[in-house]
Amino acid sequence: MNNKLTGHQPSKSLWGPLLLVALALCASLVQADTDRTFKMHGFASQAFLYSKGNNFFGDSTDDDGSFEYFEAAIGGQYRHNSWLSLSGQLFSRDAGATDNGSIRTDYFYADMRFVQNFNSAAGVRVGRVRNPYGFYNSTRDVLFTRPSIMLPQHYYDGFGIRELFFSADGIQLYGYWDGDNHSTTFTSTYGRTDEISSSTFDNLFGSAGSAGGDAELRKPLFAQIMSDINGGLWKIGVSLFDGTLNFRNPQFTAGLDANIVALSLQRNFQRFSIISEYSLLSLEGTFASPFIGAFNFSSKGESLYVQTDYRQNNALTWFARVDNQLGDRTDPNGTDSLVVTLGGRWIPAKNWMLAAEVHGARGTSFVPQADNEGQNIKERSEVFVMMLGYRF
Amino acid sequence: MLALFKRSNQAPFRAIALLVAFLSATSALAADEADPQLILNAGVAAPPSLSANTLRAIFSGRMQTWPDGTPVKVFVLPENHPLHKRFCLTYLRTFPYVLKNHWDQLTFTGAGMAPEEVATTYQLHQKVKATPGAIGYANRVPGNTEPLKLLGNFDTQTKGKTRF
Repeated sequence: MNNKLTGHQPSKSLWGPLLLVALALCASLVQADTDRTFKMHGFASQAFLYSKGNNFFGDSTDDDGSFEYFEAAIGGQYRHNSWLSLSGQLFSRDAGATDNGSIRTDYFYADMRFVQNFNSAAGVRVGRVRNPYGFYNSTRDVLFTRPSIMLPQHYYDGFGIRELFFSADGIQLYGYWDGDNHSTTFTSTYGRTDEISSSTFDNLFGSAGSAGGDAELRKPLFAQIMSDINGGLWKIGVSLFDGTLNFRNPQFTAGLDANIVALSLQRNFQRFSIISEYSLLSLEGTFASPFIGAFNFSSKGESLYVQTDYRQNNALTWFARVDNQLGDRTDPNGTDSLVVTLGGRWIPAKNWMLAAEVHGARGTSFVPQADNEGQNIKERSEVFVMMLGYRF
Repeated sequence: MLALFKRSNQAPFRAIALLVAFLSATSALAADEADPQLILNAGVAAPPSLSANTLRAIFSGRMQTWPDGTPVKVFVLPENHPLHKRFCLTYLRTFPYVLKNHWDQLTFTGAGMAPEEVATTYQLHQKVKATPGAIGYANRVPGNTEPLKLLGNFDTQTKGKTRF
């Protein structure tokens, strides 16, 4: 299986073994002092997919469908004292040809809270941190925290920058302040310049990246302001991303500035919730080659979805979603895609979830390219997905 | 033309009125008998009452230490327990599922710890009584109008030097 679209490559990192040692150490330290706390968590989920039109996570168009979608993680949080804690999570994901099940460090950071009072707090996280973006990016791989098995296109890697979006090695500043009827959180990640795999570059520029070369993401910046109004009955947020991707090989050099502004809105009633998010992606690129010459390009893409949840009872929730993406504003007919989703989530016991959903899609940005290599991508797809998850 | 105008105008109004009636009926507070009272470990240097904002900060995991440095330990009942529902609606003024989603977000990002869940009101009472820095809720004894109740021995107070 290839490594396309995977997160940080395990071979590049010593984070994993370090995290395991740290978790073991934390568990032993907790015995000594009641002020210290340690809590572990984890989950595992397995999906079944059956589709018509295109493949999703394995050969899902086969008569017997695909089981190639699996996610699992184990992590912990250790609070040393009132201002210092450590958090980490190891994660594995198999998703057809788009992810290969390798175990990687999802996040591992020290959290230093330098201000804490009744109405506000501020702190800094150092290490590998999860990036804030929209409602769900920071927990996008957890069945129990996302709004559906397959996320709306707002979170998709339609632009090939999934790897850059998950987590960053860097510094995260955060804070919150509570007002009369709101709690507002600010989170901002300053990532260090990171080398990235040429396969990610392939996703952006076709197979040109496989010629070999150096690729880097320069100083990614994530920032988010999220406000919970009336105890979370309203949630309103703005997220920003800014980063530059550079690539160099003997044949050409290229640079891509990506900038995203996303708006998030949620209204929660006792039985109903309405969730909507919009994003605007601006790309500006430069390309220079001694053989072809130099040129610049730019594009703007948009995405919008609206989802309604209905909680029939404590155990059962139904939802419906309409999701539209415009890959390039100047070519709406050629790059538009629409996905309509109906689904349900059932929690038969505290630690278990069974989810199922049907997607009807027109357009190709929803389709994982790597699962359909060597065949023409069809304009329409219908997908049935079912996923069983366990958490602790 | 006018008649047509009238008819087509009334339909949306009726639909909106129906929708409003439906939404207000479904979002009305659950009319059960549970009457929660806040309980705190006696070691916590707490003021006579805590504001809804502060309670939200505590029960949503934002406020992790008391001003004297003692870690905040939150204990709750299961999501569908009538007392938990009532506590969420009257003290935090939110729905249990909103709080639960928030705890999951904290847990899986490592940004905070979800409260410890216990099965019964008796266990909750015992946990709060025995754990320094603990906060939870109990069934209010009829006639007791105090906003909160301190449990346990003041000797368990470990760091309660700063009063506020």
